[in-house]
Amino acid sequence: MAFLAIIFTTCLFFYVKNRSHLRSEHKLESLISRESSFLFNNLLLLVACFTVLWGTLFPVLSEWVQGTKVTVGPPFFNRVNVPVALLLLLLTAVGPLLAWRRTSVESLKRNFLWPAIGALATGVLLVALGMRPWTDVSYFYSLMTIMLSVLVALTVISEFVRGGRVIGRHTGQNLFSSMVQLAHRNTRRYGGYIVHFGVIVIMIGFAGSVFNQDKEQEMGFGDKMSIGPYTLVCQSYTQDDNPNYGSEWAVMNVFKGGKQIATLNPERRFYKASQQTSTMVANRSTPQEDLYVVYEGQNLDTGKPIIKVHLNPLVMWIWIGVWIIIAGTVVALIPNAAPVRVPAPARMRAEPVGAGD
Amino acid sequence: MEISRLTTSGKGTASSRAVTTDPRLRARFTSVRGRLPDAAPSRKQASILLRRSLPLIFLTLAVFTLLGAGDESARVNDLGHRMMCVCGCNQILLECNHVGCAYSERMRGELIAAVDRGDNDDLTLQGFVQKYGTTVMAAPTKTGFNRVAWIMPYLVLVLGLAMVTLIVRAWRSRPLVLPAGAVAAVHGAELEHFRDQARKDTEI
Repeated sequence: MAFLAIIFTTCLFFYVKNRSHLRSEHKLESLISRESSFLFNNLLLLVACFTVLWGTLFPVLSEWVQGTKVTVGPPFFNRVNVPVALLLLLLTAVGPLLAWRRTSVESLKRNFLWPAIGALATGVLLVALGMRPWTDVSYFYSLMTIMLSVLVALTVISEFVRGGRVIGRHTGQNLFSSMVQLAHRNTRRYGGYIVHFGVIVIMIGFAGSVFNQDKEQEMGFGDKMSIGPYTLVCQSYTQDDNPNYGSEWAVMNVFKGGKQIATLNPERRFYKASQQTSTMVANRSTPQEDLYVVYEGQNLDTGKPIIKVHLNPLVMWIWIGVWIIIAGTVVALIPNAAPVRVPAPARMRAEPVGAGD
Repeated sequence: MEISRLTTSGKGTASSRAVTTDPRLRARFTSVRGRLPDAAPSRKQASILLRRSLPLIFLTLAVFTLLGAGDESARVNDLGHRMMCVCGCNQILLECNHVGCAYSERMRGELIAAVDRGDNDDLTLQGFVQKYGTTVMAAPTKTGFNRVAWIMPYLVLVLGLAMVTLIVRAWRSRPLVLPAGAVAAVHGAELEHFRDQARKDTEI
């Protein structure tokens, strides 16, 4: 607490001291503008940050005020921060389509109509496919995340396509080449869009966690375990020993739709030198889901291994999203192809200081 | 076990209904009714009504019991996600994945027993708090001072939104400070003219 107080006081002191330097040379013209969206974006990030700080400090505060310590765990952060994250996602969709300084209603309609229809259609499709957002708030959050992600994706794609078409019309290139040229002309802007795209891919990956399943079972020879569309059959289990470590492992055949699709070997090692146990997880990762098989240990009474299986949908999307963010950052770091210099009209020059209103 | 027992009961009642609708038995039953005193028919009618409604009663009971079974499992899942394992792993009770964790196994057993006993959610959670302390709850309760934990982030959000809105309004009305020799911004009709020109040029 003392550390936080010192940091806060120091920052406040330097803010007050340098206030005049921080004053902007520009002014905001409208609440519906890109500048305002940045402000709201920063506010939401600040609220999310405050929630983490508040949740971390509240047990101490509670002990001080009530004399009893409370736990502030995942349910608190999920309930408070998920809506904030959804608002951030909405701003990710809205921000790039807002014009600098002021956005007209006409422009909003023109830019948002198709992405909004696409997002709504995705929502309807998911409900038709069996998603029930009214049964649990986590399903509702998941549906909203996917819908907003589609909204962001469509806005980003529409930005590329519209810009690409304009260049294509002037240069005669195909759409893809035009979009590459477009991104090369303003790498920071279009690299940023690619980063946005990566973020929504990650968000869709997070939304899948609502449908996580897991199962734990003691499995002897030929024992079966079913989880989601998969059936795991324990083919064998054994022990091994080498100078570095001793290990116990199982051979699990994985079936899907009656067909064997993989053989996984979850293992548990005991390293002799460090006297540490380590779990070597067997993972079958696909864009649809991760089948994550853990050798948890052995039942000492029966000698059979205890196997825990997690079926986590869309995990690969999180990794793909990270690579897209890295690619977007690299694009943003590339210098622009041809910097555009527009000379200011002579009649706009040399107005007195303070003019403009 | 519970489900198979109930299913068997259902089948039994279905067959008893078939007996009463058999025309031969119905005829025998009518003849018996004919020999009974005057008061008897109403009792017999009640009996028929009861026998005919038995399948419905059993079906209703089965449905409600099955629904109840689903409810119990959902309640265990819900309550188990509102509590922490107290072994020190800092995980949600139903997500503690330590093989042979003495605490989580025992606590899960106690939770299932409480739900089976028919204790309501508050009573069940209160029992755990009394036994393991307030830290067993995964999130602050919504009573007393703990309410502050829930209110504060939303309050900060609302105040922040109000403040940002006020700031934007204040910045809209303040005079623009330009460094000497800078180009002034255009406004109003002139700005719209430039916007239209840009749209026409870029076709965006």
